[in-house]
Amino acid sequence: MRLDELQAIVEDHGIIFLAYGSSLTQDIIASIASGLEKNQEFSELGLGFSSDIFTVFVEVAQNMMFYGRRHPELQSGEGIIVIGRDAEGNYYVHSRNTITADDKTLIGDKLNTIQSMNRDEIRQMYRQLRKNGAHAHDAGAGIGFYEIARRCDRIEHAFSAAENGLFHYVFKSWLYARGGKS
Amino acid sequence: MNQSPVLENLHIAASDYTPEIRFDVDGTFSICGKSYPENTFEFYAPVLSWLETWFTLPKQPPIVLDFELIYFNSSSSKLLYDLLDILDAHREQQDIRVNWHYHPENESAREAGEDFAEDFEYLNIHLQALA
Repeated sequence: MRLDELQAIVEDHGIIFLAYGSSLTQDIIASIASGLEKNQEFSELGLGFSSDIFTVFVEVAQNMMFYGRRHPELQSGEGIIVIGRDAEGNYYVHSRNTITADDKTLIGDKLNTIQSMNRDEIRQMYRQLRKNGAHAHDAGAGIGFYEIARRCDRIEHAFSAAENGLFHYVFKSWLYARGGKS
Repeated sequence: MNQSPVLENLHIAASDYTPEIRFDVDGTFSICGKSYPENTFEFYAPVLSWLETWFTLPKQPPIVLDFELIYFNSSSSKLLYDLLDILDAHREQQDIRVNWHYHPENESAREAGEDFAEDFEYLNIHLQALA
């Protein structure tokens, strides 16, 4: 393993934090979150922006953690989550994990719906789902994706076939630079 | 003869991912810090149950509930909704004031407070920017 290659990737993509492996735990999530808070660059973003990045990261990471627990058979060690920043100061949370074909449909439908909605529609749907008691961490069924969509500027997702009828699910949330402290 | 329930103040210290919770029998309640517990329902269940018990006390002073949350995940948001729902159910018999404190730079926190104020339009929810 050439660590300098990994180092080059990290630098090219402005990666600030990276977690790899199937077993994301609450403690790992909390320690990345706490590292993020102590990161000087991050702390200079202004509380509004940094809180949105933080929340999106936690939401995505906890989704992955709960998904992995519900599907121990999928613990293939391929889960990965990255927080990074491009040259223009836009932040992203990028993740990849393995999911079942059923969840591919569920998550894909949910994300397509969200991507067709404007900001106000997303906000109203979030409130509606919260009122109706949807569980936040049920795959594709709860308000977690709406929480993410409210706080970021763009979401992208893609699926590709994996072994045994499973799918790789890639999700990327972009939070655009807000011109200094917002 | 019915016996009144005995209720102690409820204090839960903050952790890296759970807020400090102080619910005093005298009606002074607060939830401050970050909230993204591993199991949100389990974390908030004792708080909701304490509150339900509090409302069975024979004499209840006015409630002031202060929120000062920096971050919270979507499942916490659901549980905070449930907590406000309990207060809302008692608003006609009880003097209740909810203060939603947010940092002026934190637009999402303000928006979250506005959502709760709209969801519970008859509950006395005040948005207050921190100085």
